[in-house]
Amino acid sequence: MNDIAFSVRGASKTFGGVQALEDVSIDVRRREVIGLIGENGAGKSTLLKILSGIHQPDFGTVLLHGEPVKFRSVAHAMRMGVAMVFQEQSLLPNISVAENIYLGNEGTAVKHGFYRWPLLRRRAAEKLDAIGSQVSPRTRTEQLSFAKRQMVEVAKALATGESSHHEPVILLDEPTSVLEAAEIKRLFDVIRELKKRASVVFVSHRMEEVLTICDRAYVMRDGRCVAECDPASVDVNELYRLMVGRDLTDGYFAEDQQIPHTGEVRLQVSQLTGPGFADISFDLHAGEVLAVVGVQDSGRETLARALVGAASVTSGSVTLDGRVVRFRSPADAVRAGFGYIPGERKTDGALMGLTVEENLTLAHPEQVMRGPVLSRSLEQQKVADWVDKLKIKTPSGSTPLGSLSGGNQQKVVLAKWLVDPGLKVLILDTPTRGLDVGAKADVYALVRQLARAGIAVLLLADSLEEGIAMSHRIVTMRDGRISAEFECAPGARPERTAVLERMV
Amino acid sequence: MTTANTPTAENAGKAAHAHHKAGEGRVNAVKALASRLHQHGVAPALVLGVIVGILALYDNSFLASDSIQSLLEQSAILGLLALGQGFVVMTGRIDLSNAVLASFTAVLVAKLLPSQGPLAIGLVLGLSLAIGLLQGLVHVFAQVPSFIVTLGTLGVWTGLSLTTSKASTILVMQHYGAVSWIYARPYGIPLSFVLVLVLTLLLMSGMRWLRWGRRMRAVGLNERAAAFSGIRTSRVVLSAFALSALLSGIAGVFQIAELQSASADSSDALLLPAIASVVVGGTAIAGGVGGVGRTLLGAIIITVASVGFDIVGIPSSYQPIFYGLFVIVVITVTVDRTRVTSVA
Repeated sequence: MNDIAFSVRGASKTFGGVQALEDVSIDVRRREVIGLIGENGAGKSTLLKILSGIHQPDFGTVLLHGEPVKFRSVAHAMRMGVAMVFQEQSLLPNISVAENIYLGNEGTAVKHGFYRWPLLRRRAAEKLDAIGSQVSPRTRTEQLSFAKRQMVEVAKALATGESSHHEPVILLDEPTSVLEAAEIKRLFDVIRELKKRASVVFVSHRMEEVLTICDRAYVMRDGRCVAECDPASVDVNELYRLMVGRDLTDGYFAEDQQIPHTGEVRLQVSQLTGPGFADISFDLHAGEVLAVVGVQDSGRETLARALVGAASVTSGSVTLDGRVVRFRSPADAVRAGFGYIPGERKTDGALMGLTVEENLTLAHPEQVMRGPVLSRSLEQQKVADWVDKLKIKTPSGSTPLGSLSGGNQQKVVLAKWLVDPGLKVLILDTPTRGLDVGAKADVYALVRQLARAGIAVLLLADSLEEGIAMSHRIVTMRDGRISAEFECAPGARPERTAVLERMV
Repeated sequence: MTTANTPTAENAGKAAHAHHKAGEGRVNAVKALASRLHQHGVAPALVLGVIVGILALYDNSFLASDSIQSLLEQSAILGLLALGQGFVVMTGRIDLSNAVLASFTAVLVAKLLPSQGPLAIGLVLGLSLAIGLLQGLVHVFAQVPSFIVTLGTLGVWTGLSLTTSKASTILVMQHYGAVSWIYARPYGIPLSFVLVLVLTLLLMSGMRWLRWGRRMRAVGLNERAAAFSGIRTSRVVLSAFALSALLSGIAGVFQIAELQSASADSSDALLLPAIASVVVGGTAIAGGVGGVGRTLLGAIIITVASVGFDIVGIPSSYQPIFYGLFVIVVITVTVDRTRVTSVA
């Protein structure tokens, strides 16, 4: 078959005793968009790292245009025409777009160590045009939004493909995970443009996206490729079953698990004002899930941070169980029975270099102490309990958190608060952002369980659907103020458009 | 660290094992071994063993108890400064003033001993602790980088020890007995080193068994995440600076005991060797990763190396070159690079 541009045959890879990839084979044809879908930890990142030259497979071969190749590095793979667009962007902020696009691949645009600026800019402009981007090559990269920088990344990937005489293969690693709906649509237009001159591998854990944009999709689970499917003939439920390996029992949002809250007010926020939010008043009851929705910069993240003492408050008051509280730091809030999950898991929530055990007991070490000292046996036993209860996939309790998948990391970050029997209020800033469907469903079920146990939950929902389905009540925020409030109950949930109307 | 013997670990281990192919198993075993070497500070111990072995081949008398004794004795003061620096580095900061502070406290002890007797030691140690807290407070609350704060106080303590000593050596005659016992060698055992060792063991257990130790590492790894977990990060940082200065004070006392005199700059030259000891021991300069015991090993390695260059016969003018290269080479062995993330 001559039209196969890039393929992997029987690839296997293990990390520290965990089989990340087992006997995986995929083909990428010329001018084809391939979808790679699976939960976090299913092996799609590992496969992508093998395709892009970051890792070498322990077994198996990589074939480029029919020839076996061994990529020594990302740079080597790029010279061969295989370019990766990283999830965490790899552009330098302090140089121009044109420089970034050709960084490390300047070719004839550099003469005697000097840039030939007109040539560099013209070439960069060609690449940007090719994907229909409006960005100017002269712009300093840091002035661009995330979505626009991503376009530049794609242009860069296209540019690196020039150095090989074949059409490039472009790998997109979860490119949509932090994009807004309109931006995702733009990205799909770009992918359709790309398809005219390149092969594309599109990695995602969002089923609808793969069904929309891909010509063919591989479903991965537990390090294996479990299915190859045609998006035209498969639906979301079928895809979910393939990805997760089981049917949904409680429904995605576990809505059957929602029970009415007991009615006693746990947290009373009144006229709270600070930089970024103003005149915020609401009651949060024991056992209630209150969702806060709003667009970016609606002020809800700052409000969440202010509630745990990590952002400043200028006026207004917060009452916990009838007593006025004033937190000057998250440490004060934690001692009062608050738990907080920050929006940025990787930088603010998880301590990647500490072990699972150390992360789990970090906020409440007193739970595993005998007298003044930490008890290792008590800690191991407690952590094993939680690992079991939350089905956290980890080789052991002493594994560094950084080597777990995103969903499992987030479960550990959640468990950090659950070890405290005195937990009263849980503030969750987009706890499911970046998680795959299976892990999301797990987190939803867990939030239900916590609410049933009487914990008051303030949920900054990642999507409108999540906010509506998960909560007893939903408040919308706009420009730092509460703009509306809706009651939510199973079977009597507010209309999506009604809520959206009050957000923008 | 812990051995992997929780029930879940066993299950996961078995499950993973079932998938194993023989070759991969061996690769993993090697990797696991390498990571274990790093975890328990075995790497710097091995490095030390190799160096001692080489030196013993050059000069049989190197392993004589006499030279070992004086070597351990020599490493005591460097060890104290390195331990203190180790805590500061662990939190991702640096203390450039700790060596000159040791000189300054030595001058103070020399000045105060004749009039105050043993009380002088208590006074000076109390003062060092206060100085450390002050440096830490300026760093934490005025948000001045630790590099700058301690670079500034490096000047302050240097100046104060010059003016206090009037730039001349102060000989301790009265009450020298209050400190001289530190450098005794009962049954040939260098007491000074034993004291440092005991201190190291105490600090190691603190790191391991108190929540303070874990918080220290958490702050070094990711201060924001640590703060969001309810840790009072500024207190943790303060404790590191206080400990560093207190250990400088103890180093000052040791120095009086060793030399029976103090001059304005007696310990100044130990700043860089102490930092080298910390990193040679395997503590990451960016913080979070490292340990206490391995820092003491680092200090011994640095001391042995400086003696070793003489034994091997490297001319003194060339020694700085070898010393510099030596430190770089050793760090490539002892620093756990698996915790360092890289793209390619």
